Amino acid sequence: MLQLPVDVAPPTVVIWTSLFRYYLFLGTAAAIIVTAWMMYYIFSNRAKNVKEAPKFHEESGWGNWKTVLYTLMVTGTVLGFVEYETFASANLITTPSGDPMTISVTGIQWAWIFTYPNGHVAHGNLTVPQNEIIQLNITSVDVDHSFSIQTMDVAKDALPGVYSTVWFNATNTGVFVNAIRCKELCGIGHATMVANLTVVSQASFNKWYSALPVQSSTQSSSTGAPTGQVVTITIPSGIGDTKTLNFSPDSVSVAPGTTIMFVNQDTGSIHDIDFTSMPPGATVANNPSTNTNTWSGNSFTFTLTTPGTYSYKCDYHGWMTGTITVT
Amino acid sequence: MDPWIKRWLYTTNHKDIGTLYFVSALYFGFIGALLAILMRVQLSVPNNSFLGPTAYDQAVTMHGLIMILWFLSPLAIAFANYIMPLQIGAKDMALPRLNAFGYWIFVMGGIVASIGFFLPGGAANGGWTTYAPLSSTNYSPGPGPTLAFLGLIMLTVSITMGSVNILLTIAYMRAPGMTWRKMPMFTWFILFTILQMLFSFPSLLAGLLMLVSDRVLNTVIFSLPVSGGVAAGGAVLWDDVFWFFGHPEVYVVLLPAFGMVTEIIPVFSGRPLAERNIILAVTGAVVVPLSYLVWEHHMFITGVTLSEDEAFSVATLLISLPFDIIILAFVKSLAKSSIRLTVPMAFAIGSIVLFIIGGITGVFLSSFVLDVVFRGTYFVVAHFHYVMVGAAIFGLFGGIYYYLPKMTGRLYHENMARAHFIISFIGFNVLYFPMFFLIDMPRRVYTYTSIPLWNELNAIATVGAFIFALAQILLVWNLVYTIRKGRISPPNPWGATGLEWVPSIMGASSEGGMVSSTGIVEAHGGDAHSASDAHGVEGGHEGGMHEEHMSARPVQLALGITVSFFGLSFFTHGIGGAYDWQAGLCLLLAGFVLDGYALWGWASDDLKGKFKFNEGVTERWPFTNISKMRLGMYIFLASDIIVFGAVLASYLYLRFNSPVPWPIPGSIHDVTLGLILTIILITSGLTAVLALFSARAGNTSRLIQYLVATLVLASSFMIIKAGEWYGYITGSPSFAPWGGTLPESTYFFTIGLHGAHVTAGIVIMGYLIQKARKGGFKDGNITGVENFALYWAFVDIVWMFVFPLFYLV
Repeated sequence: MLQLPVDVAPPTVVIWTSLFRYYLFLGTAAAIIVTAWMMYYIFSNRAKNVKEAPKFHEESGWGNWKTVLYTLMVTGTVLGFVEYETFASANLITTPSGDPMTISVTGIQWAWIFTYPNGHVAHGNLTVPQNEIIQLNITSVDVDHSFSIQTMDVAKDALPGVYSTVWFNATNTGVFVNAIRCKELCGIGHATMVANLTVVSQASFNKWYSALPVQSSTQSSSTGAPTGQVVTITIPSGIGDTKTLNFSPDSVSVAPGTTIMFVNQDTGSIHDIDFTSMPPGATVANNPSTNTNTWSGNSFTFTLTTPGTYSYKCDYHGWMTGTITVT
Repeated sequence: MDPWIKRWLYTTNHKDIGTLYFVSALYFGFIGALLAILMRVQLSVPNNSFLGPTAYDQAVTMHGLIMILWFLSPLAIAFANYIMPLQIGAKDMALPRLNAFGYWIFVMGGIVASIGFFLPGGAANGGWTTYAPLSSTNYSPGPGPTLAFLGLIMLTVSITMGSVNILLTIAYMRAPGMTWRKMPMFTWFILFTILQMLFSFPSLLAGLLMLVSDRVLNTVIFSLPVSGGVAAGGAVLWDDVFWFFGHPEVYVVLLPAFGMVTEIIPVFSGRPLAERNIILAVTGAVVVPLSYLVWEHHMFITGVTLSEDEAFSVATLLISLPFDIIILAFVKSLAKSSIRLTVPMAFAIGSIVLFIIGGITGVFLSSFVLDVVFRGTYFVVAHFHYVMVGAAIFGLFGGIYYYLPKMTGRLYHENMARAHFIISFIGFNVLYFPMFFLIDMPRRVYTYTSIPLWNELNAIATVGAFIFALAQILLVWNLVYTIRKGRISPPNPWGATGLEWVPSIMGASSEGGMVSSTGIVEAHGGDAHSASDAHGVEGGHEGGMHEEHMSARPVQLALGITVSFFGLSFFTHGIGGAYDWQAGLCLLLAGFVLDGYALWGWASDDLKGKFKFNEGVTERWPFTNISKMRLGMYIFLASDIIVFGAVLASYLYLRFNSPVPWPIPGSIHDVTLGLILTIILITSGLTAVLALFSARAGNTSRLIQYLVATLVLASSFMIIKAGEWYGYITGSPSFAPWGGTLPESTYFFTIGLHGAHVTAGIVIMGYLIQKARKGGFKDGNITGVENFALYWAFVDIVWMFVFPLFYLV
């Protein structure tokens, strides 16, 4: 558990930690008082003669309403107090005011893809400037994931088709290894669906950010697709033995600048992506060895900018063919 | 057949079935624990490769499903079957054959759900929450997950049958004088549990039916593919449908244990339970209804609005208030007492202590801000294990030791039992308390890289897991020892006052078997006078029952469903052979044949008057004017309403959240044809009511005429429906269940579910006509016709919702 000194801790950490302390103090106190009270009765009221069952014939009825009332008053007050504190801390999850830098986060089996406002796509590492409010727009393209930055105490589920946001403000520079994790079981790669958080000074960030090649994906706004959209093509499990299966989807139509991500879910055989035809002037590196007998490192990402039809196949399995149309 | 095998296969006796539940639950508990041990071994050190991710995901999923649904609940159901009828002086469960069927479909469901371990592709691996779209065939292919969901459907059927049965038993079978006010605490808590099961499991059933339809028939209700991924809607829909079931299920697991604790505490503290009626009032009036209104706290960070988070957070806190009252009442019950610290008492106190920790951390989790960090971490794992293992299992284990002398007639080995409690309590805390500190470790990860504290805490937890698991050997040893060699117990070893401890109700045989094979029914039937003397109630049962107490039909019916479900699982994802689809169809049909044979036998037993019980004199307020079977039908329909409610709500949700425009009304479905179908169904409703009136008037020939008319109308409804579907599927463009759009999937699923109800009605009509021809309704006992009329009205009313929602708007 990475604990920062509170004076330099990120604001989200301060909010969460101070709220947690209220709950922890009151909760521990309540648990100890009730348990100790019970133990006191148990040890002071031990029967003298355990062999003989005590007789009782009095009927238990409604009992004492006053006790119930006191219980309700005490616990109600404590619970009301902690709930008030929770309501007061809701700014941890609400959208911050102002105009924060917004980065899109897309969960995919099994990686986090970060898309910056200028269309730059990264995965495995989220680079953000220090002391600036960052807003993340989180979604998923396949199954339920849950995005969390543990050093920032923020998290939000990444559900397909659902867009939700978190914000944070990184106050310390450095590379926080595996700070970003998936917290919802999303398949066999769940445990390693991690990414680093890299916080750099604002000057270094601006230098790095402006040096990035401007992606042509911004053009795709004419087709209504969001900038830096990622389209996933899946190689489904068992495809090596089942001739009725194919790339999923086997035919897609995308805007120029869209990032294509091949994800291999088939752990049983070897596949590659061999482009058999593409429009004149276009280039895309064939992936010679997406050999994935293991499940990790099985995605293959590239960006298509030239309009036209791209056909591809798997050299090992004749029935695996597909097309990508860039319009 | 060997009489021993025959007895256990065909029994319908509540004690036998309770014993079967007991043994099966412990068996499933053993499997679940084994999976847990495998997981703890894998996580004991970082970067371990003992289990791969595939095996680990299967272990974590099946551990959750088996422990919650095939171990914890059935252990409570075992007591509900064995002890609860004794507590209220009932001769048996209200519907013994249905009880047996409920058991067999439960145990076969467990086998169906876990058989995936031995099939290619493995068992279900998406977590016990089976979140869509991970649970779709795209992301979890293979027959294993399909079988797991089919097994869950079987369990849901078992729960529904069991709920109806237990509710009827409590409502109708109480001995005279056993008024609601005098009813024992365990029976009360079972009643609350049943009420929760009854209205939460149908939501799961609706979700599972849609999920299985997605997997077997290629509908796309939860996983509509869109360019580059999965559409919105399905994931959140599943969250809602699942947690509407899932949260009440927590109380389903917890309340029977509280029932046990409330039985045990007054006996061993030598004073009445403090605030007994207030405990019952807050549980029944606050916990039960409110448990349906807190499910969103499982979805705090799914992107719902802040006001939803706030509302459900407050609701979650409100539901903790009754538990505060209950715990304080428990503490108060120990004041001014004379405590005998026996093993059952130790387990009861252990249950309370662990519930205090589990409950208070639950308050932490009710904070939607704190939940941001806790969600999906080991903090949550620790919390719900303190509730489900700590509070629930310790409470039920206390119940085992408390009722062991009752069930076996012998006393357990005292020192071994004490050792069992002490080692279990220590092992449990060593296992789960470290997990509270793993606030930043995600759940369900199969491994982790070396991180300070994670390594140590995980290692400690694994040590605790072994201590806790090995302690359970003492329980099993003690059970075997008690049955074989335990000292003969006096009839009422604890000095308890409950009706179940009255000597003549002892179920022990001289040979020391778990339950004696004969003599129970007679002994039990004839006990009432002594029982009533002891409990200060009046009146008594008339003599014992001597009917043949065995039936082969329940186990046959359950087996038929099992075979069919195996067939279904081979439809889309076979076991790798060339003829999977054909093999699947053969199995499906074979299962249908077996079911038909079993139902035929069941019905002909009824026609021959077998299993016709004399209801006798029992306490039945407030249902003095409703027959037992009719109340059963009301309860069943109430749960069926929830199924259809969930299905129609899902339809509306998907329609409002559809990524593509929905077809214009009238563009696909022929409104005129729909109107004709509606008129036919309404007319059949009328003839069904006329049949009921004829039956009431005692006019058998008129009854038969109207039943035949209803049968003809219902059949023509189905024939027209089939024609309509044929037209859609072969039409141009075709409109088929597997077409891959939401309008197609929702239409065929919902109409298909309604059609299945109509078909069931047709089968029932066939039976009623046959019974009427044999003069079965002459003696004024027309419950069958009444129930059918109710059922048919329900089928009509459902269509009144389906028709406008699908055809008109």
